[in-house]
Amino acid sequence: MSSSSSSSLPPCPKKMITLKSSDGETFQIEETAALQSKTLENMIDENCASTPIPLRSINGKILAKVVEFCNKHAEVGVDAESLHAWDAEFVNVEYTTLFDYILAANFLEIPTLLDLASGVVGDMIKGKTPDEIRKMFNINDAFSPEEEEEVRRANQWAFE
Amino acid sequence: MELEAVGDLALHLILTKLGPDDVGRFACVNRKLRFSASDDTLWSRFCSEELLLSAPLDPQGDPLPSFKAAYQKWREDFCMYPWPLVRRVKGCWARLQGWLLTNFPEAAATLRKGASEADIRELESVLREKLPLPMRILYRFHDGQDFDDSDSSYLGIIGGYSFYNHSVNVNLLPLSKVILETNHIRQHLGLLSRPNYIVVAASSTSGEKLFFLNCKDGQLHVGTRNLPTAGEMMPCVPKALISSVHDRNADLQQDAMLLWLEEHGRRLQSGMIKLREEGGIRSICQFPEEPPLCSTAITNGVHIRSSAVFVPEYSDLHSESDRYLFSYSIRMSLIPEGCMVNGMPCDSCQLYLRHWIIRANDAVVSDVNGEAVIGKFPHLHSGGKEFVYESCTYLESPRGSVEGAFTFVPGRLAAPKGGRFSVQVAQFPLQLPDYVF
Repeated sequence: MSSSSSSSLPPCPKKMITLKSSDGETFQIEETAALQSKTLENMIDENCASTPIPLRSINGKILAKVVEFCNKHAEVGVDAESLHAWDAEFVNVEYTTLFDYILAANFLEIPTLLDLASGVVGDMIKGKTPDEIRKMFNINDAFSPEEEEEVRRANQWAFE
Repeated sequence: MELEAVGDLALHLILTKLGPDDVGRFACVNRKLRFSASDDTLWSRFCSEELLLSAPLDPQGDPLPSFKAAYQKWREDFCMYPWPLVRRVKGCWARLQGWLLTNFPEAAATLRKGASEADIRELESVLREKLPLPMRILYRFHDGQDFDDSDSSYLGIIGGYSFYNHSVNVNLLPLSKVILETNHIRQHLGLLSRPNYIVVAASSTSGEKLFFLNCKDGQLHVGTRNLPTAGEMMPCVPKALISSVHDRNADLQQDAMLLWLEEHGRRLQSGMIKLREEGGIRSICQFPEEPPLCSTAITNGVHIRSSAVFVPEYSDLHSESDRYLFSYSIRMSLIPEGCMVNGMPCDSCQLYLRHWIIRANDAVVSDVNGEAVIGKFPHLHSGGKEFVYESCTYLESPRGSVEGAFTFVPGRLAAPKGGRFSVQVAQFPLQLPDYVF
């Protein structure tokens, strides 16, 4: 839209910003796509986005996926149904990767991704017993027998 | 990456995707997750969504230190019942009580605290009946109404109607009175041959009207005119809706008592029935106030609203002609502009004649003309109070209608200010209802 106008200004190139992962990889993302992140939006607003932005808590593998997510969700003319299918495929990953998405989405404040990833983890937990949850997420520390009895008694209603 | 390493905020976000049962089990995984699951904003939401609570209150209405404690107390106290049913009963009472507190606080004040499980077991053992699950839960919330004060006989939360010298006003009985009344009826009305029936609601006025719950099939019945002699009753709720009244594991349990109270709540909330004040006494009036059951017509400035209610306690299901009794209520007023007759305005008018056409199904069964209404010649003033009166008619069929006209004179009958004029009474239905109150 912006490039084909009849004005005398030269075509405006797409404004890009650079993100740098914890392991030193850099990623280019269009500013319009980056605006889905409240954190990046604030930095853009405060003109702090002209140099590569270091994201020390997000590694390259995850940041690549986050950029992909933002790009997809910034695409114009994607219908809700196909976007929904795309999202479902995007989160069809190991739970450890989902946790990384949640952390990255939380740090970057991307509500759509946060909602999507935490919803999938929520669905994994729904209807499970504590033992099943421990097994699924490889959780090894448990309560002492006394604590276990107490917490079970307090939440007995949730097991009926 | 472990679940615990996700961080408190992210864990919280995951937990917001879960229902209370899942969060309760999640708390049993380990200390860290128990801590996350104790976030009271989660429990505040559960209390609000499931129990309509805006403060952490236990089932008795006493405050607790947190929403989590409140939610757990509710679950523990009702652990013997299917939780969705408890929530539904809670919703039913919330609607009724909300309406009463806003519109009829003196009746809300008569609702007793909930009965205990021991109270319910006592009733079951004395009457040798097993109460349907919804009925039990209804009583866990409110043990009927308190009627110690003789002034309170019009505070029944079901309400009633009056016509001529018959007046009923129905209240919910506390369990102690359910026992007394049921034993009394069993001894005096020969209902021993019909076990399973207990008295759950009754009129507190001079007019007899008794509602019985069949504990076995969950249907609610009301006594007819033949109750004292033949134990005759009729059902009050569509039978097809009643299901699984004793089965804790069924998907949907609903007995007639719950369906009946829910329907009553809907009628109150929609304005289909309202409070009426008569002689300084307020009561819930069962005459419909809204179309299509209530008809409206304005002719020459005279506004007539009419509706009917089925009167089970005077009906006789074995009679050929006098099977179904309907009482009708006619409310007439003169609009603020007064009446206009042949281009002449007048600020009052007086009723002289009535003309009624009564139909059973679609056949005319009565076409009568007469002077006055219930012996009165109401004199209406522009913008003045409604004149309200009730009468009644028997019908051989469960469906019919009434329409007609009144003849008025402008001014007073003794000194008319112009010629007579006719005022329409728009047709209103007489109908054996799905829900009998």
